[in-house]
Amino acid sequence: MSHNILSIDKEIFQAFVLHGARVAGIYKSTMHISLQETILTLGDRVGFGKHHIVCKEKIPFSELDYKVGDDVKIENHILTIASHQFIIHEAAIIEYKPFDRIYTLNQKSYQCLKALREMIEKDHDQNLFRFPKDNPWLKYQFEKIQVFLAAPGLPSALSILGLGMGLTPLGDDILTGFILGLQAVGKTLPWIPKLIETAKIKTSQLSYQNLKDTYDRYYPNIFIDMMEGVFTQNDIEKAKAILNLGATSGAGILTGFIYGCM
Amino acid sequence: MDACRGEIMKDYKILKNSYFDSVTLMSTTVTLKKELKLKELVMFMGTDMNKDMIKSVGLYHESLDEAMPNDLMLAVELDEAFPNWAEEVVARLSSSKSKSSDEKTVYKTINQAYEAIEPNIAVISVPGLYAANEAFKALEKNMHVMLFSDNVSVEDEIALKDLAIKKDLLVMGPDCGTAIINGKGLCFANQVRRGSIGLVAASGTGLQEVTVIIDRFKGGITQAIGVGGRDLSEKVQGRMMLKGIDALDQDDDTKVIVLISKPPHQTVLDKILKRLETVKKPVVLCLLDAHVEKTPKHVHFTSTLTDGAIKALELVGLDTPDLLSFDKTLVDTINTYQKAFTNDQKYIKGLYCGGTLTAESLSVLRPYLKGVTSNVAKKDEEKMKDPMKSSGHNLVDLGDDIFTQGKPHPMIEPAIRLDRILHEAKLKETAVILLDFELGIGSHDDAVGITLEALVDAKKLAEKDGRALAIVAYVCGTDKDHQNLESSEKRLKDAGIIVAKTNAHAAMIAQELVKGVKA
Repeated sequence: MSHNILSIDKEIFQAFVLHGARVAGIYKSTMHISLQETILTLGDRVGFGKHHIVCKEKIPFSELDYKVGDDVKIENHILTIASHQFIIHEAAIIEYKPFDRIYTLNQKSYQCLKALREMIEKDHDQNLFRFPKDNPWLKYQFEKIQVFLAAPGLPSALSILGLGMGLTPLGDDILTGFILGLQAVGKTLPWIPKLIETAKIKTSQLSYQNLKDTYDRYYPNIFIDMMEGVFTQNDIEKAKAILNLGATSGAGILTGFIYGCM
Repeated sequence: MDACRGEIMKDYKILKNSYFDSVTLMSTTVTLKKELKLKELVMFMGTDMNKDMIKSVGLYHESLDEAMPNDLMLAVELDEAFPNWAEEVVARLSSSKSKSSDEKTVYKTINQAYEAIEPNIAVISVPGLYAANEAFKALEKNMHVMLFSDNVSVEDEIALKDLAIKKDLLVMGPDCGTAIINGKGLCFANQVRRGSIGLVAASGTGLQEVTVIIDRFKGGITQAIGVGGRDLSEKVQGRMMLKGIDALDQDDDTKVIVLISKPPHQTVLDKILKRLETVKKPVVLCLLDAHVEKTPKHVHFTSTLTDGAIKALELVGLDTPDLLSFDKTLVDTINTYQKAFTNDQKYIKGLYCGGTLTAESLSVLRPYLKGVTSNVAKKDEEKMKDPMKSSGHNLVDLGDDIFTQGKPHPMIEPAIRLDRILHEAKLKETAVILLDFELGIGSHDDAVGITLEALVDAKKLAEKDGRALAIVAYVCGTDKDHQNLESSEKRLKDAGIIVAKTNAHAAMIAQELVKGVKA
């Protein structure tokens, strides 16, 4: 049975044709594909972006006969993984470019960020934040995160790089959001390139990919929606859709983003 | 496996290229530590920062050096040899992974859900700031609303309820934790049989307690409608209570109506009594702490949840034994404790998960215990100065905001009560610890199991200090609840805990235990 690809970056498409790739991880509704030094995410709900391959159909990857290490190749506009085929229509090959819009932080967007911060600190309960902070492991993480948020710099950033339980550790999500927030309002900090360089060896491959994509301004749609929600529409509901991302990633990214902007 | 620090053993394992999301890892860690009796278990990706974190608690071993950032590190501390611990952990992680693959369709907005499945009820549990907005959206789509969220403004509550009344819909809440609609429990509710008793309540655990007792004595319910704790306030004027009364009055299946609340504002009580005059069915009016002088003939006033349930059962022709009586074994047990108490042991320390159950106990104990205080009390002289600090006779609702900031409610995570139990046990003045356990959907899968060890330790602590500590517990649940009522009660009894028939019964046992003691 064939599936349909809705979006694949043009450069990635060409690299696939030239080099081929391998399955790196199989999950319930997504799959990670290792292409040279890049990790790509394949799925129907991954959001359009440079390193995301969006398919039309919902596929229960972990229940099918995929294996880590399976070859992934593209020939004649057909992406093949094990015995499964994905048709790539010409319109699905998109040239993703860095997002170059810079926003202005005004009174309304500031209020919006403030409300989001309040929500994260007090009410949000869908993720790690809901566990008691007196748990020694969370206490350790949150203390370091607090230090970073209070005084962002290379040492405090490195102290949370790769810190956390999942494949995109909470510390990295905070850093991703922080970089996004800085860039959204046209700021940068001199130590960020060093952080990205260090991330290549100090955290998981996927997490490094997310940090680098953010630094390179290749934002998934969900990031753009969050920025538009805060800065253009001042719509908290739209901005907080990011909380649906992953188990803890959304809240981590939003926390970092708020501090990056403010 | 390394043995160090006396008999404590440590062991390590690396799972190459393994990924589990952080919430799965966190919750599985908590469960496995308990179930497999591991002294400590950590599961983190093999990043340097995570290695530092493990080092900081002295659980690191050089074998973990090999772990790469894409690998999962497992480290464990054990009291006893358990060679297969890693296999057990991996199996459990894999099962939670496959469990989560039984994915249900998730709709991100009310509109999306409405378009896909046209539901007729929306349960809303989002931060209070946004809850009213979501509730309005649901009402616009002609859905009934159960508003679990709190921190909704009273103005929004009134507007929502007015709109609902206009559209002949229900708004259950805000801050509504329990409802059973057409046999389906929502949020926190017990599995009860269907029948002919309909309930409207401004109280979560109060509704659970009454429905549980009804079920236990072969009664059944048609609908159990929650209205939120503020519905009977002066401002909200019982809008949904009145709407609920109308709905049940018109419902052919409902033969008896039960209303449950803490004392309403007098103007609201007058309104309710006036409305009840025109209701054709028998009504049980269960108002904790209230005093109603005159009611219409078909309206039966009670002031405890137990009495409310008994009356409702009686009205549908079902008998109950005396649920507040003491049998001989219980009397003997009480006598034994009374003789064993030291002169210092004078006080009852109630540690509750259910707010209304706390209020009911206060109502039961007030006439007998001078100076009893509680964080649910309304009268100034009965309010606990600092609910975190124990002093005299105290009934503490641990679901109060001051205990749950950043933590789950104790009905979801009863472990937050354990330290307080041990603290109270250490106090020389403590004679009785009074507890509730709630079963049913929404509640912890084994509230008794998670608390049992602390109860045994509490008794031992007192014993070491030459005191006999009485612990009285009530399990609010039915034989159909997934937590297994029978096993929950049996494990408590086996541990020497006095198990009561109802919450009011538990309070009365506690009162009897300290009877005659000069406080």
